[in-house]
Amino acid sequence: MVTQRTVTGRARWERLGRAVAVPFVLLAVWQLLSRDPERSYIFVPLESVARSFVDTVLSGELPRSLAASLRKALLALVLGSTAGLSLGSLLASAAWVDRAVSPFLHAFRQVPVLGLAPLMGLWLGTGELAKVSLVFLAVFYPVLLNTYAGVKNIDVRLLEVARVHGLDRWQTFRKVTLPAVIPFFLTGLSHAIAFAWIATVGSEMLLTAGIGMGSMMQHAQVGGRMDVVLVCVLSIGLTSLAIDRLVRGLGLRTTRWQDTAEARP
Amino acid sequence: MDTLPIVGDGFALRLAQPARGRTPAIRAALRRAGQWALPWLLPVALLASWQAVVWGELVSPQLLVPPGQVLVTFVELVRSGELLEHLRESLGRLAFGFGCGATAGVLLGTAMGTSPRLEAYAQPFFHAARQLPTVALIPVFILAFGVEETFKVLLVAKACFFAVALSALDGTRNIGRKFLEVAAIYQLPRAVFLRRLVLPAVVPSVVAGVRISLGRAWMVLVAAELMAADRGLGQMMEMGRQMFRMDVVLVGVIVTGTVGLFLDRSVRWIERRALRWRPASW
Repeated sequence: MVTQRTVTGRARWERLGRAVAVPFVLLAVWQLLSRDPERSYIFVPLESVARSFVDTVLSGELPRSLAASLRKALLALVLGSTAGLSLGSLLASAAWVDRAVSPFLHAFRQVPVLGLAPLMGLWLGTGELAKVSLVFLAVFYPVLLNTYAGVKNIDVRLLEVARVHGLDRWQTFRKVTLPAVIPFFLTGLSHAIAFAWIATVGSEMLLTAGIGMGSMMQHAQVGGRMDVVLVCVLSIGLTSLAIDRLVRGLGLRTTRWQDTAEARP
Repeated sequence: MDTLPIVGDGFALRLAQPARGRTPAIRAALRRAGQWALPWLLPVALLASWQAVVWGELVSPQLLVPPGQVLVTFVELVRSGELLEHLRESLGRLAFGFGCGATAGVLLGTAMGTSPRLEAYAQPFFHAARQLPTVALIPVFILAFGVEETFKVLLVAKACFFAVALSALDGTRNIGRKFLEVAAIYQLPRAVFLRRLVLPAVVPSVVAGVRISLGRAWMVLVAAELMAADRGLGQMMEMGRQMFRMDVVLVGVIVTGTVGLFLDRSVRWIERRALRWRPASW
């Protein structure tokens, strides 16, 4: 018993050691390169990245930007997934609406969301509204497509049973359609959450007015502050990682890379 | 009372209503015409209201150019060769970056899938690193490589690399255990093992990964060109925005969308044609 525990304990340490080996080597190479004064403009010494991190945290710039970005992403996520869920169910259950609206929606979907940034900038300005609209679109489509697929995938026999029992439209929706659609909706939502974060950062970089991680990073880049840029990149990456873990933890994601939504931000 | 089926086409029925009493053939023809016309209603209505807003001078013409103007600008941009120049520039970057990124991705993904040692060392970092959104790397790449070609090609390569590597890795996971055991018993030479077992398992999954990564890479490239470029579709749109030429921006948006659609459809086409032999499951 005791030996077994020590063995698994050692195995765990070995696994951890192997996992950190690659990043450790990369960091060591980075630090070595930063000793060269000609290269230190790009390969910023790790200690100055750490110092910038502490500085931006203490000055409140980093937490403020991160909070602003997350708030934007969350707002667009709530609006976009609500719209996607409603329109997706409507399109899948009313054939004539589907025929009238879907071709246009699919054509419009082909434009990459960030490619719409100049247009949004012209129409809605470079403030919050334009950014939230862009993120809204990034969220809207995966939820819409998955909800649609979910409604279309409902077992016909269930619908027949509902019909035999004389359920009306609303009852059928609540008792049959909704439970069948929820797994699909959640898959769409898990994609949408990842897209929301990417689209938020991207739109903040393209429309730099206001605060947010993207704007902070863009300003640092213009000022040639590689250390601050790296602090931003690390914060954005860690946030992505945390979001991914959260989505997995909640069991929203079914497949790792397969894009069942066939949608992209 | 007859309960409504959840999937009905009430609209088609309503369209056909004036035909009640006439022969079924005419009614059917009208219904077909209604079905055919339905998808065009929304675009036509949007175009009409767009034109109405322009005629009514409800908003400044800088914010909403007449629809006809977009067409005229499109023709002008094609005639002058400007649009094709931008398009060629963007697609060249996409092709080059995709080639580098996808090749590296297939190699690393397959290597990780077939070598337990490499997997043990590289996979944790790989999975952490792939979470980093590519757009977030744009400022780093600009500072490190300048605003010239290198930065854009590398960005596209990065955008493709992780999705393709992941799909290749997943592909190797799909090799049946029985196949691996037989290969081990027969002590299959490495080259044969790779060609006969790994390749057929990896290719279908990689093609799917390619489709996803091409779409993402296209978006990232356009975003990068919006930020820093002297040519390319993104740059054309950014210039249009700065000069308040909404017609140019709209032409850019439409062309960008068409290219995205074309990329997606062509990989799908390859997927269907090239992978017909694929057995139901591996």
